[in-house]
Amino acid sequence: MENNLVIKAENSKSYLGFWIYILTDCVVFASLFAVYATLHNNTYGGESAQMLFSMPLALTQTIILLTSSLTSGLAIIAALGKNRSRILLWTVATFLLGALFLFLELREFNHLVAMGDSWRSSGFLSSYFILVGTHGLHILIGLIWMIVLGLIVMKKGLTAKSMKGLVMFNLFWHFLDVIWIFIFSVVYLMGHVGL
Amino acid sequence: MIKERLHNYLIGFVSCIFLSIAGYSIAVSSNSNMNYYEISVVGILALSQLIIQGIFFLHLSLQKKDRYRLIIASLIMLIITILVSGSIWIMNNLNSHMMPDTTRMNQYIKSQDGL
Repeated sequence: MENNLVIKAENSKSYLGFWIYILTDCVVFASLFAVYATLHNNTYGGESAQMLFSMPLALTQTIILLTSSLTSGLAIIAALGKNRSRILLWTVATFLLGALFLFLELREFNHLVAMGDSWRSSGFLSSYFILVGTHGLHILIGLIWMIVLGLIVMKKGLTAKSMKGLVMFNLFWHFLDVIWIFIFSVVYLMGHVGL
Repeated sequence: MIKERLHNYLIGFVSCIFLSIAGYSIAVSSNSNMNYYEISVVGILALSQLIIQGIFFLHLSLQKKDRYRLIIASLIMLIITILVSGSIWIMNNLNSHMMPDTTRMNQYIKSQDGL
């Protein structure tokens, strides 16, 4: 098992380096959360979070992203078993779920802007759009990364390099899921309770 | 090894779904404003999901091979705690000390067509 390329990638120095990157990205999100926490009451006469957001949509997005986190983990398990077609299958599933998530998020943004609640309306909406938008941007980068990874695995097979990429992508995707759980809890759930 | 990981993933996934839905139903069923009980329960549920994902998805453990990752993660969590709680504390303090009455300021901003 020690010779397995996935295990090797997980014990490599670059994995530790990527872990440090992930955690510094957490600090970026933490500062955006701090901005949101300070500005979320400054609605400038507009609607508050309680009125604005659709709760069932937020729960659907949470479940979609959690499921995509699971399928991304299943791709790693397939890689441990050296099953190339199953890696591709689970990566495609992760991609589709991630794309669906991003679609729902952009649709909500579009809806908010169409109703006149754009990022220009108030401090609250500025901080909301920058926080959720930064997460959405990360998801978009993850989707592009998945396409590249899928092509590499298809063309070059299960090499040390492609397995390293797969393992790091998996870490990145889990991280985005954790960030979303906090967005879901702080922005949507606590917003609904009326913090 | 493979079986163990699959098992971990399924446990993590099911408990995260469960905790998300629990937080959701608590938040949706409440009608009152500023209910600290619900806010703190939602916060605790989010933190427990962080821990569950750390253990079951990111394979963090107290074993020697994970030690560096764990040390880095705990230090960053400390930084995040200081950053977030400090900002909220300072900004709320500023708010309560510097704005006794915002109606005149709002009128001025509105008359200037939103700055």
